[in-house]
Amino acid sequence: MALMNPTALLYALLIGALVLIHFRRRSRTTVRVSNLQLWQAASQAREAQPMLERPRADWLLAVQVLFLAAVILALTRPVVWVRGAQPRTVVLVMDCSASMNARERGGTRFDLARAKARALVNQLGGEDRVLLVEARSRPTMRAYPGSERAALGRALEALRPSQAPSDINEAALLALASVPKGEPVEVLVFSDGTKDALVSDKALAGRVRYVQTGETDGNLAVTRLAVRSNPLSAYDSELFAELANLSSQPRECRLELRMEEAVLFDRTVSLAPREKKAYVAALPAGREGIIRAIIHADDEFDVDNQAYAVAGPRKFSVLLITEGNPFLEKGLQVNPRVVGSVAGPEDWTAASRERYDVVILDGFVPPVLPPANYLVLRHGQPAALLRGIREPALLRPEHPVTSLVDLSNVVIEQAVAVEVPPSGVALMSGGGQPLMVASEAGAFRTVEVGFDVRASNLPLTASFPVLLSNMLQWLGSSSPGESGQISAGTPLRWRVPAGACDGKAAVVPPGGTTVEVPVSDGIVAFERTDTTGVYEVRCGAAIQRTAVNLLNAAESDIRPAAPADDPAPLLSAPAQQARAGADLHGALLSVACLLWAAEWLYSSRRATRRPVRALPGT
Amino acid sequence: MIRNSAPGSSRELLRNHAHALDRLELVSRTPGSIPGVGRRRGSRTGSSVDFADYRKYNSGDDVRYVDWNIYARLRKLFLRQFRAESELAVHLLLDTSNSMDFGARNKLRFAADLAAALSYVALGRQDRVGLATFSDRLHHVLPPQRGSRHLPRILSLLESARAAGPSDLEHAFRAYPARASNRGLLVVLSDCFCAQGYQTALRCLAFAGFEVVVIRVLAEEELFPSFDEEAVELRDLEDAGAPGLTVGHEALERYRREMDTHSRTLAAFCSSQGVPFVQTTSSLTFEELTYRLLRAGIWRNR
Repeated sequence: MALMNPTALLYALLIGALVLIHFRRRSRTTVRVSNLQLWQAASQAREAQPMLERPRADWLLAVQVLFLAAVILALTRPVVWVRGAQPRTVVLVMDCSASMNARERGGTRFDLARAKARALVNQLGGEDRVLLVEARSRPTMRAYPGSERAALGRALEALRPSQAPSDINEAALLALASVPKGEPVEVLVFSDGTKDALVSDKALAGRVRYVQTGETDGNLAVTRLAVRSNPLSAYDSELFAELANLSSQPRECRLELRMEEAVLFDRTVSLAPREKKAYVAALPAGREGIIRAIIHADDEFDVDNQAYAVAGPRKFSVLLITEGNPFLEKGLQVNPRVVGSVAGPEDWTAASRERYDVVILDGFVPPVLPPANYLVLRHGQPAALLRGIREPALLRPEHPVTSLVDLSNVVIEQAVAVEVPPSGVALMSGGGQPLMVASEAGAFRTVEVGFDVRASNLPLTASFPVLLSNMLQWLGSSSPGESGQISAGTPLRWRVPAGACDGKAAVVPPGGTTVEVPVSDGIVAFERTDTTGVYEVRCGAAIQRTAVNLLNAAESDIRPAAPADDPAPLLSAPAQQARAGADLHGALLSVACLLWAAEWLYSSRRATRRPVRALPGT
Repeated sequence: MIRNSAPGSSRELLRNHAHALDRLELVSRTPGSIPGVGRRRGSRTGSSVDFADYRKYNSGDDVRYVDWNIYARLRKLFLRQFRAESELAVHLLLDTSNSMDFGARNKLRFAADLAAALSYVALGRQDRVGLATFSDRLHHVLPPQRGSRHLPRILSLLESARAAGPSDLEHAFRAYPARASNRGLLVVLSDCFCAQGYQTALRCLAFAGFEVVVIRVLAEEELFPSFDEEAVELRDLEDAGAPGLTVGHEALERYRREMDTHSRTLAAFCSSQGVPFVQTTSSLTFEELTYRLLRAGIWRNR
């Protein structure tokens, strides 16, 4: 037997107090008698009245002590150890990623995984605890350890695969966090074993059992679709699409690119195994609309056979605070997607940034920066200057800010090292110090440059307008929805124009059911983007359309990457060992109730006994 | 004879039970010691209608008592003698110590009623009745007198009697013979609880020439005490300054045995001294009391 709450034994001091109170001399009822002599002869020596009376047998005290002992023992929560099957805690992590929609023999991969999970639940004992975690882009607990099996079954049947990637690791960690520390737990991940679904977290190593579902690998996918500026004409746009054959066999399909109902591209393409091909189509100038890339192929996974894009996103409003910088002013003027304004440092107010998507601070940094998207160009103090930097290095060429930027032959006369914040990344370095840093804080982005462009030959190179355009594009699209395209499962956010609506916006998902969402701090946030398609956000007269695509080569690669199923049983045999069995506190409380009743009966009987007897013979 | 009686008083008792009391008379083993007009036969010859004896005629004797029939047969003169009428002096000693102020039905009031009844019966037989109250000493003494006009004085004294002081039988009984001019029947009405004992006191009265009768008055609570508490602290009514005595239920049975022993010892002593002894309880009704005294020979039907 063990005590689950041994500190309750401290209440045993009450027993000592009870005994002391019992033996403490009580104030007696005084009775006057006609003659004390006979009483003195009849009574024992009780004249001495010490503080404590002589202990004597008292059933009432015994019952009271037993009652108190029973209550205290119940408070300690005693349990008896019994040998038997120890209840297991099993966590079922159901992968609801897009790849689970892939067709297999007998249904989709998710149907097969659910059948395996259902069979496993039926094998569990009645005392086993089961957690059900739905692994989507954001994992959700669907059944808790205390849930009934029927509720668990209903929750399992209610699960549906999404059209977005999932985070298996986070789902498994969430499940483990729900289990008391130190308690043995078996985590079973029902997944198709695509690369993203593999559990690779160190904290989960050795604690997760992988239940693979899926065998097919024949899939063609649209892995990229983007509307970008025509490199030959800044005023024209073109459509860029990338196809991938993710199967082990050569495949052929028909690729169709449409803008609304107009067909921009329609061609049958052949792809070798693991081959990717990019296709470009010119977009009509000045037109806006929904663009779709469609693969007409007979593969096992449909979600990635279509991709969407929105042509003609709105222009950015940019405020340039400078004492005069012709390069920056010119760069803003030539960018067709930018509506620029120029002001001097003396015109800066905290409120002025609210009307602009991006604020450029050229050699001017106010003491307090209110939340906004900033491009900060530090001219630096002479004491901290780095001088004569030749050909600074691009640290992250793939970053949207430095994409397609070439810094060859660039010379920076003087610069200052930029501090890298925890949420920032250094994009450019020179003289061993970071010269350009991009960072994100909440919904806003900042690019900090450690030199004055006028003190370098960068504005004279072809990379300058590209770099400036990248910066403004990245800063202006800090809200993913504003770039016109987000990945499925990523929250859709859109900073609504000031005064466009009063606190509420309407989101129309691809299904067509309008959802009303609040506008908080001028931003509309919508998280249920697990379905691919075009989402339309309406805020008064303002309308923002955002394409939600899978566009995830790893998710589209539906080849099972995990090893085949382990022949060992999914669940370990329940341990036959001593474990906490029956909790005795209920029985002890029952005993305490009986003792209490006995005490009441005994005391009431003692109070009513010894009536005055009649005089014999009268 | 009895007027202005308050409810529950001795006067009311006498008024309610006068018819029964009129048929009773006190029993005395000794003849009346007071010559007079009483209805008791004296130990001497006198002028009553009860024939006692003959004696030879002496000169000077009243010739009216010569029995002429005997003279006719024997030719000798004999005088007829008659019992002389005498009166009995009845002394009532009422214990008014604090211990008598006890009981659901007060022992002192019960004893006073009993004394009133005895007085009524004795006065009805033309006996002289005296009353004295005592505790550790004599308090009030009414000398024995005869006649119906004496009864109100007795009743007044009984009704004014209040319990006060400890009990000391010997001291009081030693003082009483000196205050009593006549000997006769002496009835002690007491609970006989006395720290100094009762033996010497009763011997004193007997030695002084009284025909002593002891009527012990107890309360029901004294015979069968009980209490609800586990233990109580007892205080002596006659000694408020004495330390209390804490007793529990276990002492009740022993007390009853002690009380029984005390009663038996008292009865045995009285028997050894030729003193009639009756133990009563204040809870007795009048009829029960009358029957008990009849059985004890304290009084009898006329």
